[in-house]
Formats: sequence, C-alpha cells, structure tokens
Amino acid sequence: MLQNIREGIQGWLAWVIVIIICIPFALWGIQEYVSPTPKSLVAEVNGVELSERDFQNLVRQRKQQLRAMFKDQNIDLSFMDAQIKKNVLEQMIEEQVLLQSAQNAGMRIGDNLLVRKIHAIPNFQENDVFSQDRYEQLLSANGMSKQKFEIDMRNATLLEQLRLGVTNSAFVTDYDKQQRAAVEKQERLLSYVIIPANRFKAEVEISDADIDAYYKKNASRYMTDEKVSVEYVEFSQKDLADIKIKEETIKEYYKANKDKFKTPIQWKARHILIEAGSDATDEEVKEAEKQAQDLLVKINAGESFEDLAKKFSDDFGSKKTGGDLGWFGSKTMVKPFEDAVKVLKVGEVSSVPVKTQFGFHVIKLEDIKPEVVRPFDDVREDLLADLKKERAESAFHGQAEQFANLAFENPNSLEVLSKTLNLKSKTTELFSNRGSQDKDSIVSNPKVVKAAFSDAVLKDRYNSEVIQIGEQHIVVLRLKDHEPAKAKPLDEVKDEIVAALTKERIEKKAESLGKKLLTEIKDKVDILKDYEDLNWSAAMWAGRDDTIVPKAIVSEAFKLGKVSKDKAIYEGIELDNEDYALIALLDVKDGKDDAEADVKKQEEAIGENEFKQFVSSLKAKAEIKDLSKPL
Amino acid sequence: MAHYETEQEQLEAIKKWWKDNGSSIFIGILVGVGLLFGWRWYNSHTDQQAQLASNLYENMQNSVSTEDLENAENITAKLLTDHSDSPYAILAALNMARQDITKKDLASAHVRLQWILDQDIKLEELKHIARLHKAKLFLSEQKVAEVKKLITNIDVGKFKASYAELTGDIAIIENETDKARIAYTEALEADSTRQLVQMKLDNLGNKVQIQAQIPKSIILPEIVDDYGNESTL
Repeated sequence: MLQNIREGIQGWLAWVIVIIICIPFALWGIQEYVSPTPKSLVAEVNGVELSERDFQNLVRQRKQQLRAMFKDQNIDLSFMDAQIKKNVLEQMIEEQVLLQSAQNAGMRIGDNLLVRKIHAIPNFQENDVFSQDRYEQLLSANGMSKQKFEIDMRNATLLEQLRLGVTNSAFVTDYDKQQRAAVEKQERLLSYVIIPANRFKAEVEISDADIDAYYKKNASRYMTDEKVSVEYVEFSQKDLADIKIKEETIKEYYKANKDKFKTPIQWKARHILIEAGSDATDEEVKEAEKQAQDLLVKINAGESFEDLAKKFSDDFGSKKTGGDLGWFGSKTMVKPFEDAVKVLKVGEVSSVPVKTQFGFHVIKLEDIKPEVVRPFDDVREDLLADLKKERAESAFHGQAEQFANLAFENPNSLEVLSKTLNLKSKTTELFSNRGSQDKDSIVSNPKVVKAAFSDAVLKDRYNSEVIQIGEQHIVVLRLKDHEPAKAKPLDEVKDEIVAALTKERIEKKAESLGKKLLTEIKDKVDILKDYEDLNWSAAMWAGRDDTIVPKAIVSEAFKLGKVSKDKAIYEGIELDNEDYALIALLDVKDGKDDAEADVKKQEEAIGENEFKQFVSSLKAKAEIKDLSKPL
Repeated sequence: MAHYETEQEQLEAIKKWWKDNGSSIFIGILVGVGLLFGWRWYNSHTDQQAQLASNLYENMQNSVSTEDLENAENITAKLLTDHSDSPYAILAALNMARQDITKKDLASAHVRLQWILDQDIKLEELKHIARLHKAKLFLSEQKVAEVKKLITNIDVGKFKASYAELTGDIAIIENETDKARIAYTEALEADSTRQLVQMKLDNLGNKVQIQAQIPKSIILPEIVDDYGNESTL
C-alpha cells in the first residue's frame, strides 16, 4: 500500500498536499522551536513563566539601590539576602498578576504613548530634547536590547496607569477629617500614682531555703564557662634563621636591576616647524626648506628664536610659547628629531634644518639633564632588604608546607612538628569561647578560639588545621586541658540570687497592692489615704505625644475609652522597671478639625491601602506556582 | 485504496473525486481562512480600541493634573460612551468622582460611582473600590441606611479591612460600641498596619471598666470658660 501512495503522490496533487500541510507549520508554534530551552524558572503565574535570569537581575539591581542608600554606613547586605530575594520574587509575581489582569480586562499601551513616555525620560535627553543616539548608547551601555527595554517600559507604563488610576482616586471627606482629628488630636485628663517596688524591699525576707530552691531551679544560669587551654606551635617569618647574603650576590642583583636605579637623560628644547608633510609636492618641500634655511640665517644673525617661532612656526602646540617643547626623554620625539638633538650642545641651534615626517625643524637645545645612575653604595641597603625579604618569603613558604604536612601527618601530637622544625611548643592559660582581650595573647584571635573549641580539637583531640593568624604567620594547636562548664558554688552566686529574688518579690508586691487598690476603689474612693508615700499626681491634660507623663501611662490612658460625667476610669499597669502604676482617667476631649493635617498624605495612604487589597484580591484568583529554591 | 491499472485511469478517478468533493473542500478552505483572518482582525481591532481608550485616559489624567477639568470632563464623556466596557472608562469615572468631591459636588460623584457599579466589567476589584468610595460619601452625609444597604450581602473578599472599618464607623454613628469593637478588630486582623483603626478601637475602651468617683485628693486643673470665670471640673 505504501508503494501505491508513493507512486500516487507525484505530480500537482502531491504539491497541493505538501503545501497544505506546510501552512500550519509556517503559522503556528514557530517560537517553540526558536526559543532556548530549558529555562530555569522562579515562578509561574497562570502559566506565564518568570525566569531565574530576570529574577537575578532584579536582585542585583535592588542590592545596588540598597548599597547606594546605605553607602555611608558600610552595611553588610549578606544578612538581608534572603529578605531581598523574597521581596523581589513577591514583586515579580505581583507585577505579573497585575499585568495579566490589566491586559485581560482590555488595557493596552499603544506605540505612540510608549514613544511619548520614553521621550520624556530625562536620561535620554540632550538639552531637554530626546536624543536617539543617547538612547541607544545608554541602553547598550547597560547591556539591554531595545526590544527588551521597550517591552519592559510598555509593561511598566501599563502598571503605572492601573496603580495611579486606583491610588489617585482616593479621597478624604470632611467627615473623615473630623473623625480622624477627633481621635488623633484627642486629649485626656489623667492622674496617676506610681507604686515603687522598692518600698517593699524592707518587707522582703529571703530564706536560705528560697535561695537554694532558686539556685536549683535556675541551675543553667549559674554555670561557669567551659574553658580550654591549648598547646600550640606557631611559625612566622621571624623564626627563620637570619639569612646571610654574600656581597657578590648583592652586586649581581644591582647589575641585573640597574635600570631601576637609573634616571635617563632628558632634554629641553625649542623648535620652529615649517610644515611639509607627506602629501606635499616637491616644490612645496623645497619652498619649506628654503624658509627654514632663511630662519636659520636670521637666528644666526642674532634674531630671537622665540620671536621667530611665535611668528613662523607651523606647530600650533608650541607656537605660542616660542617653540618651547619642555623636558622630554628618549623615544618621545621622532627619530630624526632626537638624533639631531643628541648632537647639539646646550644653547646651540641645529646647523641645518632637520627633516622629519612633519616638515623642517629648526631646533635649539636649551638644557640637558644627563643620565644619572645611583651608585651601588647608595642602594646597597635597600637591595639587601629586598633580597632578604625575597629569600625569606620563599623559605617561609617552603617551610610552611612542611609545617602543615607534619601537623597533619602526626595528628596526635605536636612533638614531631616542633622537633623537626626546631620550633618551641607553647601553652596557653585556660580560656572560654570568648577568647581573650589581651592583644598579645594568641587567643585574642577569633580563628584560634574557634579552632580550639572545634569538635576535631575538643572531642577528637586531634591537631587543629593550620590557622593563618597574620601575614607569614601560622599556628597549629591541640587541646591541653579541658574544663567543662560546671555549676558555680552557691556561695559565689548567693548575692546574685538574692538580688534576683528580691526583684521578683517586690515586683509582685507592687503589683498586688496596685490590684488590691483597684478592687477597693469602688467602695472607698480615697484609697490612698492609708499610704503616706503614695499620692495621685495633679491631673493634667495629655495628648498622644505627651512627653511629661511616662509614655506607658499615656498610651494606656488612650485605651480606656470614654468617661461619664464626674466619674473616673481606673486601670493599673506594670511599668518597664518593677514599679506598678495606677491610672485615673478623668475626662476626654476630642480633637478639633486639624488644620495642619496633611490631607494629601492621608489620601495617599488610603489609596495605597485600597491598592494593596486590589492586588491581593487579584493574586488570590491567579494560579501562582513558586518554583524558586528555598531562599 | 483501490488499485488502478494505468495513469489515465488514475487521473480519471481523481478528476471524478474532485468534481464530487472539490466545491466543498474549496468552501471549507474559504471558511477556515475567513475565520483565521476574522479572528486576527478581531484581535487587532480590540487592541486598537483598547489603545484608543488608553490614550484618551492618559489625556484625561494630564488634563486633571493641569487642572483643565473641562477638558477632562469632555474626554471622560467620550470614554464613557465609546468605551464603556473598558477599564479606562471605570478608572476615568473613579478619578472624576474624586475631583467632584474636591469641588464638594457629592451628587455628581454619586452618579459616577453608581455608573461604575452598574457596569459589567472584568476587573471586578474596581467595583469594590467604587463601592467603598460611595459608602464613604454616604457616611460623610450621615446616610447610615444607604451605606448599610450598599455594603450588606457583598462578598468582601480581600477588601475585608476596608469594609470592616466602614462597618465599625457605621456602628459608631449608631452608638453600637460592641459592634464597632468587633468590626475594628476584624479590620485590624485583616491588616494590622492601619493605625487610625487601632486608634478608633482604643478609643472605645475595654469592655470591662473599673469606674468610680474621682477622689478628692486629685488636684484638678482649673478651667477658664469663655467668660473668664475659673472653675474646676
């Protein structure tokens, strides 16, 4: 049958079929074949993919912005990394949701509007007018293609249309203003009394049994630090035998590096150029040479070189300064020029015009700084130091390697290491994991402390790894003594416990007195009569931002609602210290219309709130897949 | 497939088949191509209409920002008649309503917001915004019954914080402290960053209060009334 088809499928019909089959391939699905796969994704919103690459770009941008914001504070962004990534991802998803919703609902940004927006960006403007060159330049400088930028810009414009459309529509009515002012600018008439915890100090008696119980209950609080001492071997450049260097070696070194000590010759000259470049005709060349010769004659006759240069030189660089070229070294000028200068004596003018690729020069040598070579004795000390340093460094690296090997191959002692390399092993005092503040002590180095408390050293009792504690300074250590954390003897912490217990008890006493008074107040208005040291403060009006009354009392007073006439509302609160406070709220005065209120700011806040809900509503309807790796 | 002896027979058969089926195939292709182009035309037409609306909307916003409200009004009218199903018409109406409120023309604002509520639109979130705005207007006019009617039986969805705050505000006007307390608490549960709502809630006080006389030992500030007479509370 296949044979039949093959035979049948020749001629015009075959072509018709082929063409018909081709059409769908030509029209649909091309992008599937062209687009690069597979992409790594961070999320999918209703099937639209958000790529890892865009995500990383945005994270980088955000970090740059943050760094610019905090640039004076030298903030380490690494600890915010997860937060930044989370925010960026959230923003990407949110924008995608908004974009899709807006487009589905029929929002579009046309080309003309896009052009208008791009043209309005100040960075793309020159003298307040959009410049295509600048636009393209800036994009390519930022590694962005025009297509990509225009897509991004179109999306951003659409998002802005939607966002501003919603937020700008927010408003504040007169009623809103009045309601807001009523609570925001409210004042409350209040009186308070503080029951100081300390007034109970004398009453508190703490028995030994109490102390004992507390000590047992809070055992973990009264422990000594875990401590270790270590044996260590350190090795630094200083430990290397003093390196002796033979006099000949220094001399050889001097010879090999002579260029370093040489200040090459320099000339100071003036010139007059009569131009006759490579495109000049023979005649012009002749004419130029003749002119130059004429100048020479004039100079030799005693006319001023400078004046002639000012008048006739074709070298615009030096013309104004009378042909002065300043100081120059070898290989600065073209070769024929330099050759001519070399044979001149100071004050002499070249006997014939010098021909170079530029034309004819009349040259006057003004001054010479001859080549200077610093003599060996001058630099001997420096050379010796250099050589020593070089040798010591290579010696150090050689030995350091051996040091590391020995420490590693004999993990259960430092003896081999110290004997082989003839280094003394030293020991430290006991120290906790806070190390030491003493800069001279090796345990002031956090790396050393960390190694000393590492499992390999503390548990397995091996030599530590080689720790670099300075330039050309390494150390290896092993455990000597270990003093586990243990309970501090009761005697030592007794005072501490008494203090803690006292604080606890007087705090409780203050509170219970306060609460007792509050229950009594209904029946006995003057509750403080029996307490000489406790008095209501003079009543005063306080606003929310009052600074005279303690903050905690003010903010509590604002939570007590309204009072009825001639009555007070009472409340008690614990203060930050151990004291307890009773508050009497006596009256409330609502704020009047606040003329200074920033209505615009209030509207913005309302708009933002509404838009926030707008976004989360759309988000709730979208199908969002978070494909990002755990951040 | 049948077997044909000669090329001639084969050709005959094809011709016959074409005669029988050719016209329907032709019509089929025509319809297919027609649909394809129709679909494309429809897409580009909607794009075009959307872009027209978008440009109109931009111009309207520009007019608002240059305070050329007359022009803004004209553009909005055009948007509302020619592109009534576009979100741009809704956004324009929302923003013009806001302008009305600045001018204290609440009636006009009501009409615009009601127009939005009567539309059948894809972005129903915009309706929530319009409804909340209208409710705020009613509230400022102390039309409690109207606000209640407007926001009852509404699926508040993610707009819970705003609707709950409104409910609380209504309860305050009606002196229903408990209801207000519940509503404001709900609003804060939905969005804990709303300071004003927190203040409104705090202002209601605790449900259980210790109330008593004012002890004599508290020295009260002197009050100077409008006539200059001093007195205490």
